[in-house]
Amino acid sequence: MNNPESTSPSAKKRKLGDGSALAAGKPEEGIAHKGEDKTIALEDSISTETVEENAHKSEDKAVALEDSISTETVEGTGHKSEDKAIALEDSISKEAADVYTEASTSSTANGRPETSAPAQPNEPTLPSAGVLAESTPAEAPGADITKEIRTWATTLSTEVLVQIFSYLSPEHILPVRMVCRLFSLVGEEVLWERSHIFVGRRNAERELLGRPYTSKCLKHVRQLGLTTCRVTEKPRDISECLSWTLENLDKDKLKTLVFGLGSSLSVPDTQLLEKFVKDLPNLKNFFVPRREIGKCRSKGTFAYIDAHVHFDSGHHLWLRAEAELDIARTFSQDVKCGKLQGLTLFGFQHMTDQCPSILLRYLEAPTENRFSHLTQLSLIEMPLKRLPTITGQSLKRLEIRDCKGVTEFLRLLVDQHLPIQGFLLSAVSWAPAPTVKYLETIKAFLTSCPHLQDLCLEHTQKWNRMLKMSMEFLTPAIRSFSARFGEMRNLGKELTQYNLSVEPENADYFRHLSSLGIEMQSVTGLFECPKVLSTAPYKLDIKKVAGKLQMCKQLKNLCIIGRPYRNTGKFPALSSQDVGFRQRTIAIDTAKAFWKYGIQLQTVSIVLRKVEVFAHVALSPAWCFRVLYEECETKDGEIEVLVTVRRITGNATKEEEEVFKALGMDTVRILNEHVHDHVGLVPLTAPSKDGLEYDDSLYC
Amino acid sequence: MAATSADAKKVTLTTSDNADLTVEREVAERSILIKNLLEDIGDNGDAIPIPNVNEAVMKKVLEWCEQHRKDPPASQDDDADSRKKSTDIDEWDQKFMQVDQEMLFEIILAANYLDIKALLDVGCKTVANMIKGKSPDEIRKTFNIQNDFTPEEEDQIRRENEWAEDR
Repeated sequence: MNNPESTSPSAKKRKLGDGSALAAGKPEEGIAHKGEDKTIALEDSISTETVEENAHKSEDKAVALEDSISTETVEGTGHKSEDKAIALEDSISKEAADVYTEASTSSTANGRPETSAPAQPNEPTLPSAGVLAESTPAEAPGADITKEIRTWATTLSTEVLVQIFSYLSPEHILPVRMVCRLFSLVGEEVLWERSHIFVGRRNAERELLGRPYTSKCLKHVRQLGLTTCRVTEKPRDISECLSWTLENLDKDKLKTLVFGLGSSLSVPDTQLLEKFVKDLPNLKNFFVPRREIGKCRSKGTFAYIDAHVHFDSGHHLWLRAEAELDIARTFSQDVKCGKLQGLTLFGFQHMTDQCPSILLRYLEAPTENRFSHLTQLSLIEMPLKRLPTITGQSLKRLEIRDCKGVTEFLRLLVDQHLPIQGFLLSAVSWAPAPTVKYLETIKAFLTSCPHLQDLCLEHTQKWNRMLKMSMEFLTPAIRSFSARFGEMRNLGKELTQYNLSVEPENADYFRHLSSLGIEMQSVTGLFECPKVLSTAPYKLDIKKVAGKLQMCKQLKNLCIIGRPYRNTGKFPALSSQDVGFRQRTIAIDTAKAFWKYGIQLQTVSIVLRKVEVFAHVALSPAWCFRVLYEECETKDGEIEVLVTVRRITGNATKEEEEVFKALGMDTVRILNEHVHDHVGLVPLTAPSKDGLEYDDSLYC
Repeated sequence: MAATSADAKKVTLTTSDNADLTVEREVAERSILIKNLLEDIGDNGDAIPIPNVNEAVMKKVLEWCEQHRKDPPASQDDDADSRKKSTDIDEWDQKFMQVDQEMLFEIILAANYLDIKALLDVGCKTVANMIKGKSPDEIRKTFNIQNDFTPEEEDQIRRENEWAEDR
């Protein structure tokens, strides 16, 4: 849909066969109405005579259309024109198909009164978008056709409708599905294409009731979870569920598979699944957590995947301890051998010695180094000493979180001179008290990575030596730098504190950075408290920050980070007007503050954090209210700001959605962007609330 | 229709109502369809027939192309696009799309035909914004759409929606 090819004439040409089938009165899967059942139902409700008459009329138009194009021109434009001519010719059959559609949507076969003009044989045929665009001049866009007939439902092609609906969130698509048959079918496709579907037996009765609907959505789904929450599941049930699911899927569409069926998977079922995985031509993300996935939240899993794919160009395997290694091996070896570009290993740290040995066996490729194509490697809760040496020359991003043996591991990497561009080191549990040896290792590692562009360091404790040393390595190549310090283990309680302050002399290290994140508590208050009318505290804060960063002349993107929300239940409602006021004010005030020092910001982002925990790994690291700021000035000298609010996290939880609604942000789109991709997060503590001249009466 | 342009950097487009519009080639090439045609034809000065777009719509489309002539080419990454679906619309584009409904859909149709992905996106976003927050009845009224469901079908869709919401 988003591929330009799909909207090009050549793309249309490929779809025209469907229309031919329709014109002949043969419903065919994949055409405008797509749902087979619906198509059959529609076929019954339509007058064959009407279809045929309109089809004939379409053929007449084809002749006229062909005549309208000079042969000379067609020849002169080469093969593309030929294609176009063919497309035009073929479009007639599609037009007939659309006539069919129109006739079906306006028929009275269902006994309901007609409220708009039906398609009559002698009336102007209602072309679809594709047809209209390739139709006769008389019915070209802008032609004089009555508006009553030319409703957009009848003029836009299915693919354009799909594109329109794809901009709607699921909650907005649901009412769309109630509008008419065409909208229902197209809306269904769009709805499930972007949904995360978990097929399991969490609630057997409910799943059974929902099965007819599940089978309808499965053919559209791109992200699927195959799970069970109980290891006591009967093998027969699992087998039946697995077979049924695989039968109903569209294998070409599936791109992400989260596999977590129970340990009682039989040998035939294992073989069935292995064969299935082999047959998925477009599978990119394969997540194999552990046998029992009951504790994993479905949305959280996909959010985790979305948030951690930084180089989304290849295939990524997510492997957790106790996973079904055979299935994982199928994905890695048999299906995507040589193509695996992302690998995330996590959870092996707490396992017995046996598990790492199994993993090592898995990692030992028989013919080639499995890491040779990796661009992204994430090691989470891993005993690094037991891992083989990484020799991949394609590695661009390395993430190490909560691992043991980091110092030794990094030492080995130094010898490899890997061309790493991004490095995330989350030293949480393994280095509560950083040692000199660790510091030297980090220094050596950073020295050996001259191409490093993104650096993120997270440590349990504030350690000035570490920070200072890191800053010394902020070479011009580094676009983004993040250093977080705090009690990360308390993420679940949302007590994360960022106590680091960047003094003006340290800010000199940021000279060449184009993106920077700063932490300012005062921004949170502007969103939290509906009664806050004054933005004076924020203005004061941002002016001080701008002064500190005045030497950063390259700065283009500024991210302002608020403190985490503590209790969303107490979150007061803000009207959309209030929210807009705050966003606008923040953007303007921030821009003004930096303009004073000759720094012209292009983007001002506002990040309000809320942290969730998934298997000890932080999920949904931020609620990002991104305000796109544009440099323009009105005639009156006022700064014009395009207030564009976007939320930047993987998936919204119900709780988050409620808060967004309370904020009047129900129209905010959910984007699967990761804030680290856009701005470095350098905690820069603004003066505390108590230290500022706040008018406390303005705060709740 | 045979009108030609002496200026090599300009091209002439002949619309469905036989109007000749001469524009800079760079502007016209925002349309992938026209770009491909020009590459095939070469610089022979022949007018490019655009038989499916009339003058009024073509002028509007070219106005957009002129404004966005320096924009980078659209991303080809389907996945990235699908994950970054935002209804954000550039301020200029918002004003550009402040036309009557018929013209709006004509622009969408033309953008689709001419293969101008960015313009098609803007049009689709505009329509999506018109849909947001509306009830089925309101959507029907806004776009003059007939409810062609049988009561049984309507009931089934309602049940499916409830199921989808409950998931």
